[in-house]
Amino acid sequence: MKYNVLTYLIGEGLANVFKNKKQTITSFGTMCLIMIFFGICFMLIGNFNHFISQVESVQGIQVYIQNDATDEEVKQVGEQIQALNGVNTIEFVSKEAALQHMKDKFGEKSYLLNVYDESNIFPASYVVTLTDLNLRQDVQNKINELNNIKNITSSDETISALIKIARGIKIGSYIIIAALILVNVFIISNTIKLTVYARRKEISIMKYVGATNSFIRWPFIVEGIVIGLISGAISLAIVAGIYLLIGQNITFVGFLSKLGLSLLNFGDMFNLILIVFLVLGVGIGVVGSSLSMRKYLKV
Amino acid sequence: MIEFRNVSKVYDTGTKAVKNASFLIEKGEFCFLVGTSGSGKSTLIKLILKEEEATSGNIIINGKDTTFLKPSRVPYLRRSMGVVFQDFRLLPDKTVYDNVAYAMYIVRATGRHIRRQVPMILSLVGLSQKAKMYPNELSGGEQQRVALARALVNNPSMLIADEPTRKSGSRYILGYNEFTK
Ligand SMILES: Nc1ncnc2c1ncn2[C@@H]1O[C@H](COP(=O)(O)OP(=O)(O)O)[C@@H](O)[C@H]1O
Ligand SMILES: [Mg+2]
Repeated sequence: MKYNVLTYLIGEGLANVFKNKKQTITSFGTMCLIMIFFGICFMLIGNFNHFISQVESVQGIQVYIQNDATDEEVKQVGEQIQALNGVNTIEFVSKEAALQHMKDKFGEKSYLLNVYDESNIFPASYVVTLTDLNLRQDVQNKINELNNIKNITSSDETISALIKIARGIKIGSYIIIAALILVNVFIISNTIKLTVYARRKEISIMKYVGATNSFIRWPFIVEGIVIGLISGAISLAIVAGIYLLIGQNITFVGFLSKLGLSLLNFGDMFNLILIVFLVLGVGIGVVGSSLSMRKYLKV
Repeated sequence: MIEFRNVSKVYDTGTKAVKNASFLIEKGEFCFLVGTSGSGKSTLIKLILKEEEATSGNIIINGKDTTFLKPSRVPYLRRSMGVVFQDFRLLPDKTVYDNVAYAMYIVRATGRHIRRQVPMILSLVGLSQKAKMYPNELSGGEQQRVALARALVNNPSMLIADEPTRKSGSRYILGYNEFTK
C-alpha cells in the first residue's frame, strides 16, 4: 500500500478517536476496567506461583541412602531419581557434607562429633526438588521402590495446606478471568457496535463510491488499536500504583515474611503485563471493530 | 459498455420497478433516460452498481456479465464508473475537498496526484471557494456539484448521473459534457 494512503488511513483513525468524545470515553472506561481487573488477577496468580515455587524450593524431598551403598550405587540412585517424572533438580549431599552440616549445627560443641570422623554414621542424601508439587506422592512412592534407600522425609503438613489454598485461589483467578473476558468482550463489542451504527450511513456511502471492505475497516481498526494502547498505558500505571502500595504495606509484607514468603517485584511482572495489555488492547480493538462492522459492509 | 438483457427488478415489497428492460449503451454515447418519478430510473442505476440485485436477466458491463460477480469485486465495478447519486451521498463529516479526495484515496492515488487533481476538479464545478465547507453548509445544487466532482475525479470511462438537471442548472451540465468527451 502506498505511503500516502497508509498515513491517510491512520490519520482517519486518530481523528475518529477524538471526534466521538462520548463514545470514546465509554470505550476507554470499559477497556481500562477490563485491563485493571486483568492486571490484578495477573498479579495474584503471579504471586501465588511465586509463593508456590518459594515453598517448593525449601520443600525439597530428603532421600537418605543406605550407609553400606557403594559410590557406584549412590551414583546410580541419583540417576534413577533424576529420570523420574516430576523431578526438577537433585542435589547430592555426601556423608562428609552431612557430618560437616551437623558440626555446623553443634557450633562450639562440634568437637563432640569428632568421633565420627573415622566411621561416619551420617548417611549421604539427595535433596530432590519437584517441577510440580502435585506429583510429590507419586515421586516419593517411586523413590521408595529404588534399591539402597534408607528413608525419605515427608513434607510438612502446614506447608502442604498452604499450597492447597494457593492452588485454590489460582484456579479461582482463572475462573474470574475467563468470566471477565466473556463479559467484557460483550461490552466492548457493543460499544464498538454503537460507534459503527452511528456511522453506518457513512460506511454505506464509502461502499457505493467503490471502497473495499478493508479500506473502510482500517480507520476503525486504527481507532480500536489507539483506544486499546492508551487504555493499556493508563491501566498499567494504575495497576503498578496499586501493586507498589501493597508492597509498601508493612503489616501485609510482615505477615508474608513470617510464612517465609515474599512478593514478586513489579519489574519481574512488568514485561509480561505489558505484553498482555498490548495483545489485549490491540486484539480487542481489531476483533471488536471487525466483528461489529460485518453487518454494515454488506452493501 | 452497458448492456441490459431482459432485466427485471421486483422489490421485496412486491413493487415491480423494472420490467424486462433490454438496451445497449456504447462507448462515447450520451444517453438520457426519461420517465415519471417512480418509474424505476434510480432502480436501474442501482442495478448497474449492484446496489440492488436484478430479479432476472443479465447486466453486462465492459463485456462482463455482472450477475455472478463476487462481492469482493463489486468495489472495482463501482470504481469503473463515476456516479452522481440522486441523494448525492456525500460524507457528512468530511469537507468538500475531502469528499472528493476520498474517491482518490480509495484507488490508492498518490498524495501528489490528489493535491493536484482535486483543486482542478473543484474549479471545474465552480466550488474552489467552498473547498473547506461541509456538505450541510451547501445548497442542494452545490452538493450535487460536489458529487459530480467526486464522480469525475478519477477520470472514469462512464459517467452516470441520477436526475442531473434537477438542481445543478444547465451551466454545469454542459461543463461535464465537455469533460466526458
Ligand atoms: N428499496 C425499495 N424497496 C421497495 N420499493 C422500492 C425501493 N426503492 C424503490 N422502490 C419502488 O420502486 C419504484 C421505482 O422507484 P425508483 O427507481 O426510485 O424510481 P425513479 O428513480 O424513477 O423515481 C417506486 O415505486 C418505488 O416506490
Ligand atoms: Mg430516482
